Amino acid sequence: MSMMPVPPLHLTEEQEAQLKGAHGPAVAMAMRVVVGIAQVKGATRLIDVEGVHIDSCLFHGQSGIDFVGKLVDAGARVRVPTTTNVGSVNLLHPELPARTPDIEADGTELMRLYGELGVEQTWTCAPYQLPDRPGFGAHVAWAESNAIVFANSVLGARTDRYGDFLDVCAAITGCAPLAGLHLDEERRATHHIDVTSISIDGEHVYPLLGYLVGQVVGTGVPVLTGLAGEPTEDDLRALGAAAACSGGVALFHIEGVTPECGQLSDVCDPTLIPTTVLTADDLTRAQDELTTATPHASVDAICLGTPHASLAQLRRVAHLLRHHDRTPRIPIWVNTGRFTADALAVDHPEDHAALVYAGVRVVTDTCTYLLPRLHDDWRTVMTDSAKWAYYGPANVGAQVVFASLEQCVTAAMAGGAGDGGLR
Amino acid sequence: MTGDQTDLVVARVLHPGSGSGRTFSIAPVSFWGGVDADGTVADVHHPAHGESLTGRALVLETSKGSSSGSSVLAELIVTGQAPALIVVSEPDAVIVSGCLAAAEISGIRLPVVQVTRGDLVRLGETRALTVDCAETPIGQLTRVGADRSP
Repeated sequence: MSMMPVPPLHLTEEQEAQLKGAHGPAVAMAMRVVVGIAQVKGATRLIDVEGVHIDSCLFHGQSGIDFVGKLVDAGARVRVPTTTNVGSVNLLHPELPARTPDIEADGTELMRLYGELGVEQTWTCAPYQLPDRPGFGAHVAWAESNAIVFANSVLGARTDRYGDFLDVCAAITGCAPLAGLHLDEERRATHHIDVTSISIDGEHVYPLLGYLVGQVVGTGVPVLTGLAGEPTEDDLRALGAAAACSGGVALFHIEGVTPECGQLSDVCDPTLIPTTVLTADDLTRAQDELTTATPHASVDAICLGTPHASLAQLRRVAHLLRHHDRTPRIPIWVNTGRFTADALAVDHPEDHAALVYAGVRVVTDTCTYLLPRLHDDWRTVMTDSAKWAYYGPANVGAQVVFASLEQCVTAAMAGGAGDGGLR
Repeated sequence: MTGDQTDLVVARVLHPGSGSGRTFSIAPVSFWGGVDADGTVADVHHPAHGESLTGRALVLETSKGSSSGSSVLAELIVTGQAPALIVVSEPDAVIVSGCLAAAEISGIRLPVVQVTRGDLVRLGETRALTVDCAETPIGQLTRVGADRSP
């Protein structure tokens, strides 16, 4: 086997005109990026996308501002419906501190510039919770790893694993490379994961499974068989979000659950791909790896809603809090989308009141692990999110206890030691 | 590099540029949340935790994890703290998006090339790597110079 050049990329007249600057320098710049990625992927043509989710609005340095600033200065506007991922700043609650005053200013400027492009300013990592989500088979260009894996796996929409910059360029040109997970053959399973011996004794099992699956398959496409539970959408997205950070999973199948996999043979010839059997021991190992805090470490805060909590999850937090007739001893933070926070307040005032009574801090537009100044006094954080547990230590320097949602609320009420979460 | 210890390995250009550096072979990493703003591996779960990528000939199958990796890599490129070159075995759009964006705003071009899985392992065991593909279009072939001296 040796490397071969990629096949030629054929552009339509319209796409060629975009590339050559007939629609102005902003469209030409965006098209250069789309064409570059198309050639990386060996695509022979571009496809129109129905929608885009932009991740590049999260501040990582001046280069991000310079890139979108160049597009805005050249008059760029998005051509297809486009949503925005979390930013570095909670625009609705500016009193919440960003990492540094500079990031506060720069993060706000970056979000403002993306707003100039004519996007829908959703500022959420869970665009699939919005009313207009892509249908089965729809081609979209989504960035943000948890949104990508959800769109492909749970909705049956089609997006490749796009990085920042390609997202906004797809929005400005309205097209993306016809490659990767846009193609039928790339959506076939590469690994068979047998979870028959795993008992689903709580919702925390799903993120742990996802963490393990990502470790096994890396950037491959897993198909799970033998899943005993009946996962909700929230369970599936917890699984996907974890698999996307421990590996690079952008699509998973579950036999009899996800829309492209009525049965195993729909997505693979099981005799041709490797099979891995996951056991209860693997789950225990996953719990241990995600818990970096020492046993019995005192928990300083509870962080929920990574990715952004759904309405059902917010209501469940309210339900668990109502079991206790007093307020938590440890602060509870929940990230969610603006629209979800609004829906809770308007449609479920009793649940909203329960969160308010308990002093739950609701963060919109961003994520607690992007606001490290919150954590100056937090040495140990308990979370029900494998993604928070995975990125928290590097992002904010906190030690983590991974636990179920129920254990998180119980620990918040009890105060003090977290008892090592699920250990 | 000395001639008799230098091999040339065929590679596909994923982003044009020129560079050379000491070989550093690592497991897949997420640039966002996994690599600091100064180019150090920050992922506590990663075997190369604490090592610097700056100026190295980075050899890895692919990046992983967050889409924001492109932004982190673009910032490393523009601030001069990126690897000197990147060799992958998968056509990694997250890495190349960062390179394309950095080139658009700064003109700095980080070379990224793709080799076969077998060559990736072999290149990972070399002392230093060189690529010179500044004029080669994406998707076309070039050669990686591999210094195998001890």
